[in-house]
Amino acid sequence: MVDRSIYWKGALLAILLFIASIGIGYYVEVVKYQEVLANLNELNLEIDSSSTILLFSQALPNVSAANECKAIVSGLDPLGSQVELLRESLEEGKGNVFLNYENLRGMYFLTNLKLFLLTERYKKVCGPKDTILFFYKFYTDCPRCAVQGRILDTVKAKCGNNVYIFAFPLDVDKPSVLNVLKNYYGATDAPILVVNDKKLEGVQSAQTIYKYLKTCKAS
Amino acid sequence: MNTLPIISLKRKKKSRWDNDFGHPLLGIVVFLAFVLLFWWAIDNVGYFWVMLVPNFLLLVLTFIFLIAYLSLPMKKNKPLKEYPSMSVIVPAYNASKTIGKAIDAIKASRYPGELEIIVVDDGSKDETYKITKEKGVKVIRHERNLGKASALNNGILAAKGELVACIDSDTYISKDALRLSAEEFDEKTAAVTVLIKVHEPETLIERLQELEYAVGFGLYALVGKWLNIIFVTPGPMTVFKRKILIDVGLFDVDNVTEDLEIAWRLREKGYKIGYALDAVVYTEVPPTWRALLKQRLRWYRGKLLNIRRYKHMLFNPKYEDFGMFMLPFTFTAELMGITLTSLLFIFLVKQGLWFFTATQATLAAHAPFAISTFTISGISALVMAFFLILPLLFVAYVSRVLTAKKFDFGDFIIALLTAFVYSVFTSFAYFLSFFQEISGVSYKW
Repeated sequence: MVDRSIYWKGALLAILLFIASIGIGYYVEVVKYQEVLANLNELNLEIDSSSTILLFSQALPNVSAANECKAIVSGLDPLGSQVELLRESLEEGKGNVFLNYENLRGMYFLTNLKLFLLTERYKKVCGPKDTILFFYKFYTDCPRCAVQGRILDTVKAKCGNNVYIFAFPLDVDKPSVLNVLKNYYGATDAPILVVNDKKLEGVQSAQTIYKYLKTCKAS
Repeated sequence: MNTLPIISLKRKKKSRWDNDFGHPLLGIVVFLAFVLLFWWAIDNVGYFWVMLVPNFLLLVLTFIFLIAYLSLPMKKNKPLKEYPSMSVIVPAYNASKTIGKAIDAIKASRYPGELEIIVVDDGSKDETYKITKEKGVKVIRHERNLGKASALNNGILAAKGELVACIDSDTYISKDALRLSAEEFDEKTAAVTVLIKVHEPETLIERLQELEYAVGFGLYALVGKWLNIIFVTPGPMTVFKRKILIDVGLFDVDNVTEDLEIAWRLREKGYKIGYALDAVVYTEVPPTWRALLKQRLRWYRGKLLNIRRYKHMLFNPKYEDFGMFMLPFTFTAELMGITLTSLLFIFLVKQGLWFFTATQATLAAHAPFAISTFTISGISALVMAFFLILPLLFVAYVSRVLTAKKFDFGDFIIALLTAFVYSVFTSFAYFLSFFQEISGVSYKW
């Protein structure tokens, strides 16, 4: 006689394995999430630290601007690569099944914006520094943005810390301050570059980008 | 020449659109509807969750078979006091390369009862008839090709045995296959299937089929016997009670998968189908992907055709596990094939569009070339996939040990390839068979 309990036993085992695999998948995502969050907090700490340096000259007498700038730039330079690593982690998070990185992304973009504004402030106080703003699409498939990203990678590889690149998504509205940035530069379609205040729409070659850089040239 | 009567079993002519659905345009409409549905699901739910549904069903089925296998009552049949007379029917069409070896294997059988061998040459244009005559067995010759079912039917009508063993002309039976099959019969059993192995597998495609046969005709058939859900009496070799076959009307000459149809008919009439694990036969399998696809299209379309014919058995408690489990299982397999192939199709289209645009931009901006892709799954999905694939690997392991008494590293690689590559091929075959069936593409034997 056939023991029909095999059917519910089979279904039960499948559900158990299914739940177990979901649990493990969830755990992997949580670990990754915590890692990204920790890196983000560390980054914010560094940015706040660099911002505070600028307050010294305003608050205290006899503070040398040259020393201040030296201190800021020594903090800013490593931040660029940290931001890039974080961006990559958040990109990977797009394939997440359980955890939504929306808040984390919001925090990241805010941090990135703070870093951009700090760099602009640095430029005013301390002198020239090349900055590139890169508007791309995060949620919508954007092959042209991927190509532009590769070109910017080559520019960064050549120019190193002479050029700061800040990437912001056009299809993300949180935090709302991103919209202020987008409206300020009139960014509507990706990819868009703003190289030292010069707005360039569509995919730009490395040669075109070098034309607008002050501290780093093609040859 | 033959002196045996040939009954007129002529296949009805099929028109191109002669099916339940009617027009090929409908096939295109249904195809587009499927693609749009899955596209919408992927955009709104994501690849991962859409993929998970059929895979979860597969997981449930896999566990049911595994648990059933572990619960199997293992008992060996005792030798019979007296073995029933048996007629071996070998339908052959242009089988000159294999028929001699197939007959030799049958003649070398250790069958304790009376044994006759009848080869039905179904209008071969090669040396099949000559080779068969030289082997000294009884031959029925069709002047023209009438099809395998007709050849089998004529052989069965001419046979004298209480049992008839229908054996393909490219199948080589082991010495005890007939005896062990005969020992498997009881009063309610109308047919006994056997363990079919791939003959001398060497190439990758043959190794993949070897594992597939080990699972399907090994583990699943063994469990199928216990649950009384065996749903096919495979062409390479099945032994039938002759009287019952004649009573139910012999093989259907209008069916592309006559071995599937007769099994469902026997089940419909309340008969059992048995299985003899130790009765081993070796069969030739399609050596190329093209030939394999052709074979699978025939199999899967035959399944669709017969599902429609026997739909009254589906979810019908009267047919017990066969109607409540096995037939829905075959539906699920179809569904999985269609779903997975649709997803793959959509993925390839999206990736193609992505690659095209990226290449255009790369060339225009003199950017460095790189293979760009869009993200479809993250690390957690891969981790989950790893865990969900484990039961499938275990099935491969159990099946190989059961049928070949071994499982080495090569088998492990073949199992992985089966899970990740061969499954895509079979899914595609399911997909294609479904749309061929809907659009009314004519059947090819």
